[in-house]
Formats: sequence, structure tokens, C-alpha cells
Amino acid sequence: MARLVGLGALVAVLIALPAIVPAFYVQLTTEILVMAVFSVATNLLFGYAGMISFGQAAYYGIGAYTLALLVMTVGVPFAVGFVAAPLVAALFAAIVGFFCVRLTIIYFAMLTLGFAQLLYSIVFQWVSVTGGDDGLHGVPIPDAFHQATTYYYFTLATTIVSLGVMWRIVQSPFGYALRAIRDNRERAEFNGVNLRHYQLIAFTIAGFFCGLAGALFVPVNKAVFPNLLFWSKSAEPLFAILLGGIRQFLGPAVGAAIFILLEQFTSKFWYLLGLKSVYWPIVMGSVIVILIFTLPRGLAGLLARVRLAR
Amino acid sequence: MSLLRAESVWKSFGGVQAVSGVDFEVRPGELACIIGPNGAGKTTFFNLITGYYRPDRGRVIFDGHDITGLPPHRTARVGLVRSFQKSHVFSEMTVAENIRTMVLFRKHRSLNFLAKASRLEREESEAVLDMVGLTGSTRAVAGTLSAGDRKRLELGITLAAAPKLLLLDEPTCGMSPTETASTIELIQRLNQQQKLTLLFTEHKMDVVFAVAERIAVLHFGRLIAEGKPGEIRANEEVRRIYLGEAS
Repeated sequence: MARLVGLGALVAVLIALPAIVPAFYVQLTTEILVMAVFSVATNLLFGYAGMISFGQAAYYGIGAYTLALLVMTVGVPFAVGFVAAPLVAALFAAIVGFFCVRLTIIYFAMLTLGFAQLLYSIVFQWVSVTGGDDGLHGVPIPDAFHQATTYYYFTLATTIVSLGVMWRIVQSPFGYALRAIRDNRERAEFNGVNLRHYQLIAFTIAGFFCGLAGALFVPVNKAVFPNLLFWSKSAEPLFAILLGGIRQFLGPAVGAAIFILLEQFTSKFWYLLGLKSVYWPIVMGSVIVILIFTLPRGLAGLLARVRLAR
Repeated sequence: MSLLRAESVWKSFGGVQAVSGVDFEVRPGELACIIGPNGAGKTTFFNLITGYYRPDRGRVIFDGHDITGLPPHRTARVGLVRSFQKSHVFSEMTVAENIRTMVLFRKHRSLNFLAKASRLEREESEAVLDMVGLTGSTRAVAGTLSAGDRKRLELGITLAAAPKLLLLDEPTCGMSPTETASTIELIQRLNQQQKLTLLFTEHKMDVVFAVAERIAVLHFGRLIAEGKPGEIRANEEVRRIYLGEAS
């Protein structure tokens, strides 16, 4: 009950936000929401299925490129591109996942990374279609989305629906089966569970929502570029998961907020000190190291423990 | 008519013959036991019939199907379910979730993505918990249970799969005398009331001779004797190489 009230209050604040803060922060919150979907989807694998993927940026990037290419090159309406993006990402995830679920733990992680880098280099090199290193600029988006507040509300609604669906999935019999596999592969297998089937489905679902997050990101920049698929992008949801808390459903969303705010403010702070901005990741990295050491279960994990202790 | 039949099953690891031409069968409804000193090949034999390892030679027939070398999830699906010597439970899930997950799975409901699992299959899950005596700790996280309770929880997980033949690898290992007694009582109840066929391995001789209807003795990977408890007790070779060592 307390949890529902808290959630309601959070949603109320998010709805009222554009009336309270300047447009810059509305756009920043839009980015946080996009990263929240990306991170919670990645945590379906990491936290719930025990599958550490180092290559989720591939599906994020495929979602973004699918939308951009369909709208710019094929000329379909934005809405069609937006619906197709997560489906295409899920299709790629299903194909890559088919091979990856044959491996476990670090080998699984390395293969997801390998496939993601492969997809990255295709996007990077296939200049005639993807624009190569330059990416695709000036992706046409609906007029209404040019207004930061309108797009913010669209993103907020999409985020709430996506997280709602993922929440249902983790509470479903399928979600329980994933957790069982995570906790004890052998026990599940010797009860008749075909591990690979379940893990492949999980990988495909995660790919779908990562692709959706990628598509959501397109109107933020009105451009797509190969770095959306790069391995450092795959690390971002993992940071969010560790910062926010792996065992709380919304932990990665909290982590996404911390990550983006840190990124914003450390780079600004660094600039004010008159230091070269290229070095700000040092600050970011140090803060992450300190947070992970002091809050091993993330911020949401800490909050959960405080609540239990009371 | 046998439920499980192992026909001349062989397995070696490197130069070590772990199981050498074992012929063994389990009849429907019986409560059988495999004994043998440490390293006799009991666990390897379990691993061979449940698909953990593939036999080098020989066949395994279960309930009319040739299951030789089938992967574990397939052998479990035909009704051959096992427990492990070191308890395997879903350690970060609660006791109730452990059981419910596997009941849902067996009822082919695990590919349901949107229903609320905690509302499904309550009765059957509770029946299993009741059977293994864990109704008092349904909300406990499995990883925090005592060794004895973890064993019982794993037994519950195997029962949730509704096995035709249940293989238990040292079901009372690590249990206190009280826990051992209640586990033995449970095994006998499953066999007599639920008509469940059971095959188990065990080190505690008093347990073996108290409950087993038929005993097979493995030694260095060979089946050296097989028969009723009285016959095994009287068997010269068994006394010499096994019971002699134990007493």
C-alpha cells in the first residue's frame, strides 16, 4: 500500500514537472526516462534471469536506426517506424540470442558483446545506408514532438506502459521460471525446464524494450549515430543497474536518474573549474566506484533495507 | 515389467572406470536403495540415468522409452526426477515461490507472461508444502533455511514435478536425527500412500535397512549384490567389503 502511494506521488511529480522546472530539465528527465526503459529491460536479463549481457546497446541502436531509416529512407509515417523499431530489435535479439543462450555466464556475456560489436561495425561501415560515422541527421519527427513538453509527456506515457508490462512479466509464471533458472540452473533443468527456450524468450523480450528505448531516443536528438550501438553504450544500463539496485524492479530506473544527473553535473562542475571537459569521465568513474563500494545493492536496495529495518 | 531398466551401463572418466556394466531395474511401486562406499559410483549411476552424463555403453529404458543420453530436461519430462546430494533450491526465492514455480511449470503454465503467478496453483502448491512439512516457513527465502529444511524443500520441488520415479541422492545427508526420522517417515508415506516409486542412495545403514524393500550394492562401479535387506545382510561379499568397513 505504502508502495502504491509512493509510486502515485512519483507519477504525480513527473506529470507536474514541466510546470515546475525549466525546459532544460524537462528534456533531461526525458533522457532519464529513456534510459530507465533501457536499464530496466537490461535488468530483466541481469537481475531476473541471471544473464549478464554486455551487448544491449545493439538492440537500443537497432531500434533507433530502424525508426530513422524507415522514416527517412523508406518514407513511412513516424508512428509506423516507432512501432516497427522494437519489433525489429526483438527480431535481431532472437537471432543473436539463439547463439548466445548456448553459452553461460562470462562466455554468454562475451558472445553478446561480440555480436553487438559486429552490428556496430556494420552500422559504422555501411555508409551508403547508415551514413557511417556521421549517422543520420534531421530525422523527420511529428511537429508536436518538436515541443519538449509534448515529447516529454509522450515519453512518460510510453515509459509507464513499458515498465508496467515488464513488471507484469516479472510477476508472471514466466518471470518466476526465469528467477528459478537464475538461482539454480540444474534444479530447474532436472525438473524439466528447457533452459535455452526460456532464456531465448527473455533475451528477445529485453531486445524489444531496449529497441523501444532506442526509438524513444530519436526525437531527443533528431539524429542517430553509430555510438548508440557501441560497447560503452552497453555499459550504461549496467552502471544504472549497479547504482540503483539489481534486486528492486525500479532500481535500474533510479540508477538511470543518478547516472544522467551525475553526467550532467560532473561535466558542468568540471567546466566551471576551468578544466578540459574531456577529463570529466574521471569524476564520473570515481563517483561510480565510491557508490558501488558503499551501496553494494544500489540506492533502491538501501531504501528497501531501511524500510525493512523500520 | 520394470519402470526403469539400466542395461549394462558403462562410464569412465579418463582412466577411471566409474560405472562398469551395471544392470539394474526398478519395479513400479517399490522403494529401492543403492548403497556402496564413497566413490562406489552411486551418484555417477544417478547421473547416467537422468541424463547428466551420457553412458559410454549400455541403454537406459524408462517407462517404455529409451532415454539413453537424453538431456535432463527431457528425462524429467517423462517422469524421472531426482534430487541432489548437495541441496539444489532456488535460493533467492521464497519457499512458496520455489514450489509454485515448479507446479506452474509442470502444468504447462510457465509461458504465461501476464498473469500474476502468486495467485495461481495455490492449492496444489500448499499441498506439496504440507507434504514436506514446510507450511510454517512459506515466506522464508530458501537460501536462509537450515540444511535439513533445504533438503526438504528440494524434495518438495521434485514432488512438484509429479514424478513417476523419484531418485533421491542421500535424502537425509546433513540432517539431525529428528529431521532424519521425519524424512524417512515422509519417504515411506510417499511410497505407501501416494504409490510413488522411489530409488535412493544412503550412507546411514539403519535408514537403509529400515525402509528399503530392495537393496543394490555398488563397489568400484560394479553391482556386486542385489536383494531383500535380509539377503544383503547375509551376503558374505557385502559383509566383507562394505558392512565390515562401516562397522
